[in-house]
Amino acid sequence: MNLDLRLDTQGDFYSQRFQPTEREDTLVLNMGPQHPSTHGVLRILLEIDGEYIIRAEPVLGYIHRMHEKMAEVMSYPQYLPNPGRTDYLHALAWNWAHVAAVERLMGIEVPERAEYIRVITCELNRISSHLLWWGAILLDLGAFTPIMYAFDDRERIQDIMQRNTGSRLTYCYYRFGGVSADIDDKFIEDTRAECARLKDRAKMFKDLVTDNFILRKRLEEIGEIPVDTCRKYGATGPVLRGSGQAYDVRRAEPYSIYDRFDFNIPVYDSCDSMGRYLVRMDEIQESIKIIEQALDTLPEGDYILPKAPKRPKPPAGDVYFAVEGARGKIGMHLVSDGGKSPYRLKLRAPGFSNLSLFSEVAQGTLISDAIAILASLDLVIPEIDR
Amino acid sequence: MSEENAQPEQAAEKTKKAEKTVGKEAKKEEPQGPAYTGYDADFFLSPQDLLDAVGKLDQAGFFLEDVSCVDMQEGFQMVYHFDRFDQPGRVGIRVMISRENPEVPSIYDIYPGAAWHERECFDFFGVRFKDHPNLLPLLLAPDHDGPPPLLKEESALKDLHQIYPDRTHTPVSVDSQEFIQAITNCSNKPGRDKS
Repeated sequence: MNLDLRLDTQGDFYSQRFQPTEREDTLVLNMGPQHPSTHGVLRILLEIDGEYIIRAEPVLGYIHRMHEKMAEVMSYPQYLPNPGRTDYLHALAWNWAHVAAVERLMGIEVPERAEYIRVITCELNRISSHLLWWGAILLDLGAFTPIMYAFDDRERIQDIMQRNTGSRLTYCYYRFGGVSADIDDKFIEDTRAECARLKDRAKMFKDLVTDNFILRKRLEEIGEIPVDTCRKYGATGPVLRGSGQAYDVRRAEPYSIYDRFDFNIPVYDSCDSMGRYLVRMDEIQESIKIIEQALDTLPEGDYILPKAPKRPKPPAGDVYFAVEGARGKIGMHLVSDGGKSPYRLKLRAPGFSNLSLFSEVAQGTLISDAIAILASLDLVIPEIDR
Repeated sequence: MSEENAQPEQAAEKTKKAEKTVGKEAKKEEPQGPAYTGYDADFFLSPQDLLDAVGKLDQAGFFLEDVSCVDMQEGFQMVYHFDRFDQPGRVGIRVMISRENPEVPSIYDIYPGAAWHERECFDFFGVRFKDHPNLLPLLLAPDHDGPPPLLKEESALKDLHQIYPDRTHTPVSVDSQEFIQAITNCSNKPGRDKS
């Protein structure tokens, strides 16, 4: 019996252009864009031989909103909420990249206290992003319980952040020249308590999940990404640090006041999914260290520059500003013609570069391992599609 | 308070205001910009030199940050950003291509990660990349109807002198000592100390 299960003329634009190779015993499978393990609307075309992937090709654009065009038609303050809508899990890092690019172009000095508040809130946000990733990767691998623990801590962080930012997820807290509201004693007290609690929880996370035999079997030696592959694709963040390269924008291109704090850059040179897992688990603890140091040395003063422009009109010019987000290097390339909205704003999404190496890494893996690799890349699709 | 006392104050305020406006005008005259732009080396190149330059950056250990494009009066300005892991420092490579025939060589063979960035530029600006393996719409729908979304209207286009008033836009040679020195020594340390 000769059953040809391959797509010939059926399928849509992308599957028609994803023609099977010479082999006749393969199957083209469409994963997503509604597949639960793709965390939103990522679609991947797979050519498979049994359970093994011969080729994989992500198809993007299902949640594309043209943020770059919106930047050109909105004034600078109108665009403030937009960056946080790209990577909704680490909204503050995007918010920061945007305001800092404008500040750099205008030569605005942010008050000391505002810088501290930015560091504290951005790191809190990084922890909550990593916690959600931790729950989600385990959900993808079939462990349901850990996400409940992750959300327990995540909700506490959101409660803390809600007091001064006014939102729980898509934060828009930073303004040109500072932040929108000061932090109070209750915020400081709660943050200290949560830091202490998270340090305690680390041991439980380790006993419950990290040391688990099944988890190690699912992640160790799965999805190995050599450091040179990271370089060729521009992968950054925990993906790069899980491949043994200690590159973190907070150290490599220090911005704000990160050079004042003592923290490590976790690096694992196993290059596999477990390496990327361990990097993020350690980063939670490093962020706690930064927050505690910042709280200890928090200066008095303005939380926003009193003369900060409400409707900035930066001079003509071209600047690039990069910050370290939970997923890697977030870059803003801002070109101004001196008008009230950018002439061009290019957003560099770390997930975009990180996902682009998936085609190469997924070759020859099992479908279930590909799911683990995708989860270990920590994808946020709105950030990739922008 | 009597009015007599208030008047001199008002007068003083007036002179202050006058001073302020004078200050503003003076500021407008001289182009002001940031002390540190985020670029540690930044070059205009001619399109035929692009692959050569990117090859040199690859050998020097740079990674690709992104590929971007700016629509200008002179044509499309392609901007390639590179950075380095071991000795961080950003290199910007700028190439001007004409609006009538927007084509530039693809750097996919050197940096496979450029494939998606180039497809994005194809989507947003209609720029074509020569020898790109798979130049299909990436973020826009394949049946997108109409001009590329980031093209500007003729009246809104600015020229290079308006955006970069205080720098030269003449392409440098890839083999020049200036270029090779700049990418070898590229580091963000001195630039950041200035700001």
